[in-house]
Amino acid sequence: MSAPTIDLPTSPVTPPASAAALAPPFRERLGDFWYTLRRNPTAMIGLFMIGVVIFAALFAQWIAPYPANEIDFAVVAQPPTREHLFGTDQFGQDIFSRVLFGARIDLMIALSAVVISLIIGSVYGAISGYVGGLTDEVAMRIMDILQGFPRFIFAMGIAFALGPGIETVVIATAVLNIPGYARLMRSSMLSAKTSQYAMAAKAIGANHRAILFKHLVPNCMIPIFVISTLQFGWAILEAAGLSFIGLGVETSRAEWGAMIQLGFQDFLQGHWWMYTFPGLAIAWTVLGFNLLGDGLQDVLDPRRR
Amino acid sequence: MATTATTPHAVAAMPAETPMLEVRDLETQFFTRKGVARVLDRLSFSIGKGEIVGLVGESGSGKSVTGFSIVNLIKSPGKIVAGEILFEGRDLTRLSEDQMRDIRGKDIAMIFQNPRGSLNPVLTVGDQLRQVLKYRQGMNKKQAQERATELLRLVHIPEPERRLKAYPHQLSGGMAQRVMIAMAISCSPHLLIADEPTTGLDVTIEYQIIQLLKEMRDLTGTSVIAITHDLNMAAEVCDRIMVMYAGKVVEQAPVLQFFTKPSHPYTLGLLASRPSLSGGDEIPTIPGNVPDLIHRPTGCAFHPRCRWATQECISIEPLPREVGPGHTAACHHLEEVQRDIAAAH
Repeated sequence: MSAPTIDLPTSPVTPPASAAALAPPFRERLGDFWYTLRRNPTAMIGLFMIGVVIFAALFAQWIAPYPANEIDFAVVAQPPTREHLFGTDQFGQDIFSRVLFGARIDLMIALSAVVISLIIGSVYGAISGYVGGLTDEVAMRIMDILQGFPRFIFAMGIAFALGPGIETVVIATAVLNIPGYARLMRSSMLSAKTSQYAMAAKAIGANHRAILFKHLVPNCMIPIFVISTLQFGWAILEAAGLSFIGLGVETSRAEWGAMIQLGFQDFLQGHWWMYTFPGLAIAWTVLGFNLLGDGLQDVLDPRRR
Repeated sequence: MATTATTPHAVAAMPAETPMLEVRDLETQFFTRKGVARVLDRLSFSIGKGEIVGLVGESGSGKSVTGFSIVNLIKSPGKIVAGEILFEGRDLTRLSEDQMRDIRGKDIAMIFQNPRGSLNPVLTVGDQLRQVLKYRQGMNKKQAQERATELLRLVHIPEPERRLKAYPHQLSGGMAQRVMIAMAISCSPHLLIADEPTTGLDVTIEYQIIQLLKEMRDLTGTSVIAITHDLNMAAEVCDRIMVMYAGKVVEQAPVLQFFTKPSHPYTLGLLASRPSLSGGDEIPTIPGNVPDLIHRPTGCAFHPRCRWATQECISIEPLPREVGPGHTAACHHLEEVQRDIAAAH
């Protein structure tokens, strides 16, 4: 039996506009966010530092005085000079240029790793928290197992099994970060799923998928984004670490960890510039992401303002 | 068949031969650590087509649980353990979760108190309205947009196009409740359950929301169950009032009857505890508390608080007795109560 659809006529009367109806003009949410962010010095310093790195990554081709892999045996292992700001390595490659190009590879690795772990971890945690019960219990114990290993040893294990290469670094770093996202998403989900709007969505006949992904997950994303900026920093450290011990990116490529590894081979000769400058680049970037993350946390969590 | 009925009012006034909703001996229990709380105790009532029925009672009398039981959204550890909920001939307690989901929103809609909490804070009003229209009504984007605008206009929201772009936190409470009502009627449900729809709203807005509920009934012929503890609101909006106590309907009557000839001692207590403009400083209250639902009183659940209670009330549970047309009350001492009221005047 199909119900007759009732034709609703348009409203017969317009009520007087109440005072509540005359809200101030709606400012865009993003505008609001930017407005508060700008007043947070920590976040702004972090944003500036990251901005510099992104700028270097995008425009390395034009800023860098030399190509990333220009071998020149005439200028092998030169200390910093006017021609070579950060000096040169054992193959006469310009370290300043390589640091700039390195930003590209390192940011790409970090971005891919963070995005992969964010998607897998969030979906995993969201489902785990939403379903609850035994499923949740089992899912979380699996995460416990992953987290049971010391982070870096675990990454080394994965990298060793997969063999060196950029993809290896991405995968190892991503797997490391999945449990963090999963846990965070699960805990937000536990509180979100008892919310009234979830109940209201149910009462209007929404199915589980719609409730979970349309209503609940978007409400749990803010902590995920905050953590992501911090994870970026970690990912860069881990990627560089893996390359440094020779399980990541090959030393022929302009990647910061690999450059440190290459430079370290000349440690005893006192060629300090070979590893110091890539190391500073890593420190600069990680610090930038951490500052931004801390700042975002303050901006997005009104209780901490 | 009431084919000649021109307005839903006429339909409402007619005694419905087959009620659209009939609840029979419904028992919803909560399995807590302290024991089983029998929140709904063989609850029975029916709702006619186009009727607005007020469900009133103290906090903890089972009003909201009744609402949630009808749409089968009782949260664990609660469970419907017995009884039937016949909605347009189908027993809702026997439906699968998938079938039930199809009924929610489309046939039975529910609105809650605290309307702002019922709206998803990260989606705009328009997103949420359009989503319902798209998924439940199969509309395309353009149709949904037009219909959403129309719905907001229908619930008297000025500048509907602009409000569609607003986020819930940018709305006032009254505005948010209008949006919820718009969402609830978007699929032309046959039954609307309003769970304390005006709690937390100021009186002028409350009045507007009540009027809106009435207007929607007149417009669409939907039946409404208005759950409230506010008798004034019930008087304003309802055709019939049911009083709940400890999970049972103790008295039900057409609204006029209810206020002119209240019969159950509990109803009398409720009516007496309304604050009045002319009254003294102190508001009379019903002595005692809502009974412990795990260890329910024997016989009539109200007997510990009732001044007419006798040995009979402690041992035998009273059944509803006819007081007038469409007016029943479950009490052993209806005659004594009436006599005492008459004597008091």
